[in-house]
Amino acid sequence: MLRFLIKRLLLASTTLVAISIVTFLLFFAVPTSPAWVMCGRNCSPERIAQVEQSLGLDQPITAQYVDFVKGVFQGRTFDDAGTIRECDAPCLGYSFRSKEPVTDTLERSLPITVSIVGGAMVVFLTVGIGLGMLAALKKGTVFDRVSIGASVGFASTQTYTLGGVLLLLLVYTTGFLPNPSYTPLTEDPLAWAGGMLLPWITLGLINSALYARLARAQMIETLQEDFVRTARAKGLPAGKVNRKHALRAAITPLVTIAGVDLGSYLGGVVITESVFSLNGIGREAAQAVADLDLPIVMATVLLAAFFIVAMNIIVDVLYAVIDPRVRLG
Amino acid sequence: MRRKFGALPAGVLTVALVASGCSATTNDNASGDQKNTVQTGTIATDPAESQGPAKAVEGATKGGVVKLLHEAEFAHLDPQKIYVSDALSMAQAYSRSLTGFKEDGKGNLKLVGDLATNPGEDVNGDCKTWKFTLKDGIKFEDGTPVTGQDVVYGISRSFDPDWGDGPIYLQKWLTGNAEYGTVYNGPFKSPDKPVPGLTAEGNVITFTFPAAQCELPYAVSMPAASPVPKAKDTKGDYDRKPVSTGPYKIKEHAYDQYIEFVRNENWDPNTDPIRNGYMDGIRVEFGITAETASNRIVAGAADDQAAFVWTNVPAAVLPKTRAPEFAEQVKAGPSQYVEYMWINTSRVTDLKVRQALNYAVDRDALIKLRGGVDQLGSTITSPTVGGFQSYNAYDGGPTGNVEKAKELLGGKTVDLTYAFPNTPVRQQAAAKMKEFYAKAGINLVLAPLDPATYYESVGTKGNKYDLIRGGWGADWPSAATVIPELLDGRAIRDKGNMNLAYFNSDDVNAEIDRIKGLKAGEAGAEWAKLDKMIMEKHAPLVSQYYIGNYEIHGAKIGGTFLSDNSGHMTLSSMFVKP
Repeated sequence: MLRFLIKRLLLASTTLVAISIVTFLLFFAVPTSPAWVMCGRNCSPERIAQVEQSLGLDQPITAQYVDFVKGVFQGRTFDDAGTIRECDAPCLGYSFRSKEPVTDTLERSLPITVSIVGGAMVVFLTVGIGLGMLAALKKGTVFDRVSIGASVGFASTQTYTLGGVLLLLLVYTTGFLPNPSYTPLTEDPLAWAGGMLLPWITLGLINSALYARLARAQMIETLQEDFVRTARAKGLPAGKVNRKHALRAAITPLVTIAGVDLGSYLGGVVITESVFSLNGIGREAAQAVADLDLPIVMATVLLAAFFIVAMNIIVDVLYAVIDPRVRLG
Repeated sequence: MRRKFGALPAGVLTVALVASGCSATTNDNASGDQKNTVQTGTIATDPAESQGPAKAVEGATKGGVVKLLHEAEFAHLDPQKIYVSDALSMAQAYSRSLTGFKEDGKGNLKLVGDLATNPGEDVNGDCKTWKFTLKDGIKFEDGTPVTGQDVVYGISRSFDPDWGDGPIYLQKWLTGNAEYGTVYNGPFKSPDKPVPGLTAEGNVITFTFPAAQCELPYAVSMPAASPVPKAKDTKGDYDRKPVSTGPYKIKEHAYDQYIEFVRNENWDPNTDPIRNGYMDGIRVEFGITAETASNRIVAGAADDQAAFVWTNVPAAVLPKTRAPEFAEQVKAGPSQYVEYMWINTSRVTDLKVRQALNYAVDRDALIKLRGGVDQLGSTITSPTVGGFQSYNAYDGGPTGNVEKAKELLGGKTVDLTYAFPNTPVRQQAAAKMKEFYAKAGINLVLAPLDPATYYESVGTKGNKYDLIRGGWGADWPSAATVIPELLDGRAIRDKGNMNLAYFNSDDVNAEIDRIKGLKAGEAGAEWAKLDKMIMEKHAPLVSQYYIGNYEIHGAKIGGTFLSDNSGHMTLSSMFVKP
């Protein structure tokens, strides 16, 4: 187990380093300078040079990358138009646009994304897996057809369509739900949940559809396995066979998918955040790309990569817990 | 020139210009929601007009908090860095300048002294020495009195080379040098050097210019001429939380998320001729698109009844807002911005082709595409400018005159490359233009460019585009911040050009010099004549439409109107209905 973990962690860090290098190189391959985006109206070549210098963009790429890595482990200082700013380790850089350490930006926007994704995850896992399992058990019945048919419908809608329609129906026209907004959970749990309800429902519905279909297929397959037949033959009650034997085996692949999904959603749900005007990581990232704000781009890319890599490790460990046949090593 | 908020993401480099003089807008108004207004902006001569308090708004009550639903964080809040129209409007809440515009929402726009007792004294009558005296009782939010030194210090900050986002009029005028940084580069880099031409003694501030600067009273209405307390200058961080001299101060600012403005107890309404300060606070929420914000205001949930926007209601929501119950809540009118198609005169050298482009333009189609809140354009400057004269040098009617264009082309067909920012709105417009120009035998080859670097590409001399999308407005009610900024060919440089026609003509340059020497009140009519002369003789652009404003506020907001200065709804007179 320990050897497995060490191996995976090493691999994970290599992945992150590789991604950071690629992002850095890609950024500098863009045929323009962030100075142009920032320079605004009174732009002259001299002014561009000044801005580039103050952003450190006049340094060679390798030197800039070394500075970045140093910042992550040791922290670094920035000279912002005469104001010296400390950026403590882990320093992911200093945003060109918001003029603050990138970690401050992440601190503000990450809780929003985590709130959206966490709640939506609960919705789509319970609804999706529950519905899929039931459909599998009632294979061929009206319930099966209706629920799976509906799931195809939801799976084929998009967040911006479904979200927009729900906004119009439930918020603008009927006032049934409050405007989507973010209030910190610690401040007012009710307002937090109220403001998140619509994103949860939207993201939940769309994804639960996928999970329902997957869960149904897995469950049907498992129910046909020999060990299930054996359990039944032993005379175990149907409920116990389904829950203890079949469900556990069927759920394993779903955990993998859910884990990877969680990892990628935590990196930012750009469309959901945009549709519901929530300023999470996804919107920060999209804005940063438009502004050529390299430090934020780097940080959001790395963060997203980190979540995916971390979730993969967690999923592998969970495998061993869920499925006793799997041994890590 | 300044940018209109929301313009850049959509790929517009427009700039604002305001109204003065006594010009009626007499354009035919074939499409759009706008009421034509008559601008009667002037400079106040009676010092009594610069005295506070501001005239009470009928039916106004004190109290309540309004909510601005805004698309994106303000580019800047630091008064010396502000240049975009939304931040210029916001600055009204916390930053007072030497002068300011007193408006009544009926087209009367008057420049008065804001911090100063009058809109400036031209000491020798030659526009070279100007004197401003601060009113008594003006304080910063911490209670410290504002002195002349604070104003000088504030202005000095705008010289810092890292500060270059704001307007650069004062810097160029004081140093008499376009490259003002070579003379003086601000208090951070040159702490011991005095600001050239700018002194303060007690409450008196004196500007001394090497050349006549008759437009100074207007220039110091911008936030760049606001005081900053040196002891409280947090430099880069000042942009997050500037020290207030206005009715509101910042309590909390979470970047990209929200700003909470609360009452500034040290603001004395008796010193302020412009702001009523009725509300208890202003909350700004970021990240809310124009569409979401307008939908929310139309829906009118309890939360949003005191909400408003500083952006045009998008086409998708427009029909709903045209219902009679929203008549009171919608504020529509002309803006300072004009939409152009620049004709690169270094490439399209045949005047007849340029004239044909002007004849064949189907303005009506372009306006309809945008939802119909704009007015047919034809001049270089907007109708909101002092001395404005309406004319159309190539009048093809609202939908254009294809025959006339064909006649000018003499049966030839021409291929022209049209550059525009690659955004949905601009793509639609470009497709429409390709369609109507084709009828006249002009084939547009579309060149969609990356919006982020659009002005870098088209602003580079020697670029390969024949036609270029652009737009402009001015900083104050005078064409002096439009025509010389755009069409003085002597200012063409290798990169970063604003003269996207790359137009350089001696007769125009000479006229620019002559009119610049005239007093602010006399120049308006002369600029208007030059406007017409440029179009008739040279046709370096196609003026497509005057961009209209169409904003909406919640049912509980009263007292506000579209400012002729910023183009957005005013905060100064806004109140919350009980």
